[in-house]
Amino acid sequence: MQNNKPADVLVQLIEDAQKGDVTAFGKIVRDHQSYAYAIAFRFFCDEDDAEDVVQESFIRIWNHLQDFDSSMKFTTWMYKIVVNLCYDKAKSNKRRMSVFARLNDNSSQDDYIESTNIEQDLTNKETAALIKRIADGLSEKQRMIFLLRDIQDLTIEEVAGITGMSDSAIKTNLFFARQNIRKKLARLEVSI
Amino acid sequence: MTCKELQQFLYSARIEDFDPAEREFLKKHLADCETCKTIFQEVSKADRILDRIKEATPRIRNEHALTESIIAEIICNERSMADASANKFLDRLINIFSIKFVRFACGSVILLCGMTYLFMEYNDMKSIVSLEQRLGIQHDFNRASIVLPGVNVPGFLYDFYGLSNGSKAYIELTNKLILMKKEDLQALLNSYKTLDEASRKRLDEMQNRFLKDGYLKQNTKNYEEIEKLRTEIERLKKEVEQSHYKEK
Repeated sequence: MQNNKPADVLVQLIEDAQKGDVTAFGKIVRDHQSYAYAIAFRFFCDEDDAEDVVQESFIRIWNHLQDFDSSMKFTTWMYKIVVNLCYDKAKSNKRRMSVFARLNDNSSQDDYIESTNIEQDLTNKETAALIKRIADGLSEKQRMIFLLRDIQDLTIEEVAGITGMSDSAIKTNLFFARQNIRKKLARLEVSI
Repeated sequence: MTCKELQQFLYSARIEDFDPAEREFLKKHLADCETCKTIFQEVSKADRILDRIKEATPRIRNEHALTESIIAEIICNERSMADASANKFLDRLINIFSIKFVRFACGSVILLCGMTYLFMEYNDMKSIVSLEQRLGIQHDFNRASIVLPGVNVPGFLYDFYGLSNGSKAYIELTNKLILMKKEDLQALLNSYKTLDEASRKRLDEMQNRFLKDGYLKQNTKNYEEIEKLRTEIERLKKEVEQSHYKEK
């Protein structure tokens, strides 16, 4: 799990935040928002949506901080909230038909990917375009599981804890997602 | 394992997840099978792209601004929650009215009070009209502007239903009692003498009640003049009463 903050300092910050210390919570936000953002951005491929989810997630974390079970890893709990909010936002976006209208509009992104040299550092836009291209056709669940397992490098157990799915269901979804993505990537003409 | 099974496996599993025996099998098979070798190369290429995606950690446009906006939102929510708890008592009180019986009871009390008040006002007006008829007061004089519209029921009635006989009579009579000239007053007092005790008492009550109202003082420019006249009325009334007593 990606967390460089020493566990005891984090525990202290959580305890302070549980007592209502907003400054302590601010430190937690500063240390963890990039991880939450990484998941949300890779899921939506949109900076605005990702920032909205991060903001909403930390507000929800603050509101439910009293319910936090200290036997659980804070990041796992945070990811769980982020993932749920990603699904919620995707649903509301779907209702407004905005996300899928954008996802289907691949023409400009294709040109962008093909002119990209992957050896250089990928920018947010390039990453978004690439993920959009390869994850197109996957269900939200499959995309999320693929992101958590293969991009965020979480273990199957951690993914199960976050998504609330069984190990076997995760493996099945992962199997389909990987097959789909790798076939697409193999056909993608990019210089590596 | 057939070629088809291996190809499916290659697409769906990560090479680093293979155990040593699987790796050995794969190595041997790829040396002999050109199709599987091509697919293995494709998968390896795909994995390299995925590695690049993994390395490219998405960056927040303005980390500081995002943190600030989260904290600001939390503080704002906390404040509104504090305000909400402060209003809890009021909310509870208002919630009482969600009970049907309470709503019915309150409505009934308000209706009863309103009806009683209107009935009393109606009675007042009725007695004024009767007094007015007995005193022979003519409707040739109206200074309704000294009555603040809407403050009392007759004022309200006069304001919105100017033709209401009761309100008009009330206002005119009270104005007349205050502002009438001395000679008119004398005529009125002559009639006053003819009144029975109860009617006279009623007339005095009406006059005093109106004069005691604070708004009359605040809203009448010639209040001093009215006060003088009122004193004169009182004096004359006493005279009449004394003579009445002497006559008796």
